[in-house]
Amino acid sequence: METAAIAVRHLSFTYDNRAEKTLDDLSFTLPKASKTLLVGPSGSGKSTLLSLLNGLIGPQQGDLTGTLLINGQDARGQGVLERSLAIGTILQDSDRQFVGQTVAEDIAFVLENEAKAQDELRQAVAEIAALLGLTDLLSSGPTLLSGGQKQRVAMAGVLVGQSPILILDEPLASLDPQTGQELLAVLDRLQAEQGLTILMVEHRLDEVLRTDFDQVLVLQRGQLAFAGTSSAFLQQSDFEEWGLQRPPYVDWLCQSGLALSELVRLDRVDQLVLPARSRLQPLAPLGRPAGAPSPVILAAKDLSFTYGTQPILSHVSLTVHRDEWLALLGRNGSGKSTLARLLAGFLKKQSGQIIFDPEGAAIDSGRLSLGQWARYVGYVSQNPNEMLIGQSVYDEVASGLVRQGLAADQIQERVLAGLRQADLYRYRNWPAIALSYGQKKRLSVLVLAVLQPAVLILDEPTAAQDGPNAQALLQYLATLQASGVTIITVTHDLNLLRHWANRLLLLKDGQLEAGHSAAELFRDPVALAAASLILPSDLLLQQRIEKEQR
Amino acid sequence: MTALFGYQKRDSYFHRLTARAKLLGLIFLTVAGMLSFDARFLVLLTVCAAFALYRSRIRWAEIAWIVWLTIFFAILNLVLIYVFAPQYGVKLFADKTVLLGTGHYALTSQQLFYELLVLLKYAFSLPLTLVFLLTTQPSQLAAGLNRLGVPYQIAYAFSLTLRYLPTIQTEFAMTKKVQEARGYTLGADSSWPNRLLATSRLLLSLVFATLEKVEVISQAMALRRFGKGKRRSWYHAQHMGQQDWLFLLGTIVLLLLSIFLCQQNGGRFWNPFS
Amino acid sequence: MKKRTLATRDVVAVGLGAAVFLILFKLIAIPTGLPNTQVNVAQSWLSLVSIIFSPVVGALVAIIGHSLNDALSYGSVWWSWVIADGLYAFVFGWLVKGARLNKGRLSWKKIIWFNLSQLVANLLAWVVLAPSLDIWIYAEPANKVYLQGALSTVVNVLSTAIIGTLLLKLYVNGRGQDRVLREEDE
Repeated sequence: METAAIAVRHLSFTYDNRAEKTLDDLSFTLPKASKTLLVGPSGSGKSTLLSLLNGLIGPQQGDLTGTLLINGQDARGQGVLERSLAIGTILQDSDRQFVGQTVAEDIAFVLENEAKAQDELRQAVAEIAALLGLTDLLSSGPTLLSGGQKQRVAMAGVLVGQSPILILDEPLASLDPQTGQELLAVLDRLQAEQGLTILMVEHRLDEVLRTDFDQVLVLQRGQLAFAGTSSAFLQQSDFEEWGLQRPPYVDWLCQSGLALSELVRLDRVDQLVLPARSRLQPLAPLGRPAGAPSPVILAAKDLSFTYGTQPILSHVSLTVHRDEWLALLGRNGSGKSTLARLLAGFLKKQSGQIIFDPEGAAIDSGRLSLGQWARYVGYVSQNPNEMLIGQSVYDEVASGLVRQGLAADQIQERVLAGLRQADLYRYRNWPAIALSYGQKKRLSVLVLAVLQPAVLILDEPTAAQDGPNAQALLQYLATLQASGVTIITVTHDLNLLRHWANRLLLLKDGQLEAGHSAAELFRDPVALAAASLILPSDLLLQQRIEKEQR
Repeated sequence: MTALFGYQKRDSYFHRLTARAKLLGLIFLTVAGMLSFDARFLVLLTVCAAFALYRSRIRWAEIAWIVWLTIFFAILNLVLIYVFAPQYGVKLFADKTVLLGTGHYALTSQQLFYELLVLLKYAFSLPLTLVFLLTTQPSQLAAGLNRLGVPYQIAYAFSLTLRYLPTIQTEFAMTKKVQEARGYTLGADSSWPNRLLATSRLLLSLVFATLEKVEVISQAMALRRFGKGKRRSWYHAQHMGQQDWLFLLGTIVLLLLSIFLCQQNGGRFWNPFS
Repeated sequence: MKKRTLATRDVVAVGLGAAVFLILFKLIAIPTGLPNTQVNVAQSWLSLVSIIFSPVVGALVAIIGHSLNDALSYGSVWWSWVIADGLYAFVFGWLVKGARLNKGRLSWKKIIWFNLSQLVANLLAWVVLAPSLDIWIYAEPANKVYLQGALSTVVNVLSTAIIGTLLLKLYVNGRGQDRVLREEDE
């Protein structure tokens, strides 16, 4: 029998400063050249498992029992440097992983550290760059690259080290759905060509399961809750308990009363075979139409913006209505983030006009300082670390109110009420840096929301969060909307677009395309491509069925 | 990124020299110029430096700002010296030729000559540094530092500084705006205690943001075997050619000349008044 | 045996610390009202880096950050001040090494020790070393460089006493360690 790439038997791990086991009696095998998906809610021990595999943590950090074989050899005594010869790791944050000043240097990094000769470096970099389509970018710095390109550089930088096992930690987290699919395709091609063994952590199931996996592992509270094929995985009924979102087409099949276990290729929505004459229930209508038309709260007229000589936005005009939830769409570089920052006053307007409450007070953004404008329009950036400075949770929220000169008891009342609303009350005395990413994200919204701006603009609010956290954030935003706050989100989140936004605006090359409803968007392949989105799986299935019936 | 460092990709004699030769040459010439207070030598050095700047195909617009700034600081320093020690030249050259005025602030040829020397110190070093900065690719410089005997850990730290400068700058600019939006401004419209508080909050955010980055980046580097050996190679390493050695020879000759003049003059100063 | 090379974590700390140092020089300047004299926030940053990492990391941050800043903004490096900045970070870091300023609660005793150390380190760097180097390297008049040194010392000591202490306090609070984090429902 061929030796497995990774074999784990009865592996348990307890951190030195904790009473409970973080990993509890895990046993699984990754055969050579196989592809495995690892999922589980945050806190289930996924990161600890990955770090144990790639050697970032080991017996120095806690009590480790059981066996860990890498390519048939006992790996428990190896440190991270030796381990990295066998296992390459691609971290979630591809910008942090990019340590070279140029693409070429970053790809060469691992070989440089091996002190390989320069000819060898050049040849290896040229080869791997050609394989991943990076040849033209070799002399570019990281600031010029898109998220998808950085992700490919990270892959090249690991593959050049000839590590036959590849660990990927949430590779889709910072990519739009279309770029994510492209990345998955590249990965499949590489695996076929190089015989890689792949272990991927990813919770965006609806997107990641468009490709094949040999095995799915589910971690829950440090234990293996499920191990099996993706078809078997999708038949499980414990998704909610696992903190995972089942792909919507499977939910749809379930609701329509089909027996999942009898379906052929349940794991692939594009190949699934439905039994003849099976009747599916109609899908719920898409989107969340706004109620009665409300007055305009924010109007932008003829906004143009150029960066250096490069035009980013040209003649964009839009109106936003009171209490609505507006989603700004567009591919990378379409100008949607620029537009959001202009509206929020974070970028200096070059031309055009932005008016708050044009039918009433008619306040012109050009006349106000950022601090004054922020009382009407608040902005939450994508990275919560930019929003928080490192005080206690309570102080982070309170400090903006202190500045407004409110009375102490009033501040306390508003802060505590806000913390309850954002489901952070229990952590009010924690340092903000101790919160999880999802909690930080909610806190970063709250620090703005507590100032009670009429409009709240958020850049990619759900990016890099798992299902339950994203859901909690959206729920919180809906609460704010219900209390009278107008929400504008820049997003690629399919779930947000379908279930939460009232109106969608699509930007293409710095110009505003016509507004869409969610239903229109998902029926229009051109618009979908322009927004760098893909069709949610249930809609994809519906389309397939419609086509076959015709 | 390279825009900030000033490197311009072009083809010139100095662009073709290796970073190592340029760095070593810069060190030799800087030492030579620091050592010597011989006006003849400093003029020679300034002429060489200006010629180098001319040959490196740098456009005036790219350096105008920094040149004016240096001139401003040079003049400020000259004035300060005059204010604090108007007769310093007299002491240095043991002679006094009054040109204008009387008393403590009388203008002497010796003082003028001394201030000329100080000006020459600015005049030779600015073009040299500019040539170096604008013709040296930052990655090659990191590799060159290592080749010159600086431990690769420190050379790489230097490379990381240049790599993450734009990232940190963008994030910091955002944090600053976020704080401004919440009423913590640094601007002139804000009171003194407010500015101090706003500054401390920004520093605090930088501390935590940096700590977080240090953890993630050092893990990413360890996972890719940084620190494995006693030595590492560099993608952008360069090999010294004939041109490099000739250039170095030239700078060494100038350094030796500077030392020779010190001996000839019986000290670092050349005294035309004796 | 003493380890001679820097750990990877320290390498990254030096690299990023120097980048922040550069940014502080450029982006945060609090004018004092006197021309050309700004409150140097970078010194508070150096102090904290020396405390959190090590005196060597602090010194390297100062040397790389200061020389790069000089080269990029003035076109020439004023070496005497670069070296003095490096010495400040090292001496300060060495003096506070045993005081564990970043661990536990920040007592008055620790605040006083922090400020005494920065005073000593500032005096050594700006009253002793920088002017001596200025005289030795640049042959500048003594009374001018000593007055400049004294002025820098006053500005640096005051800014570190106010901003540095405030920062240290915020940092220790924000870290909130040495206590078990518990979720509190009420």
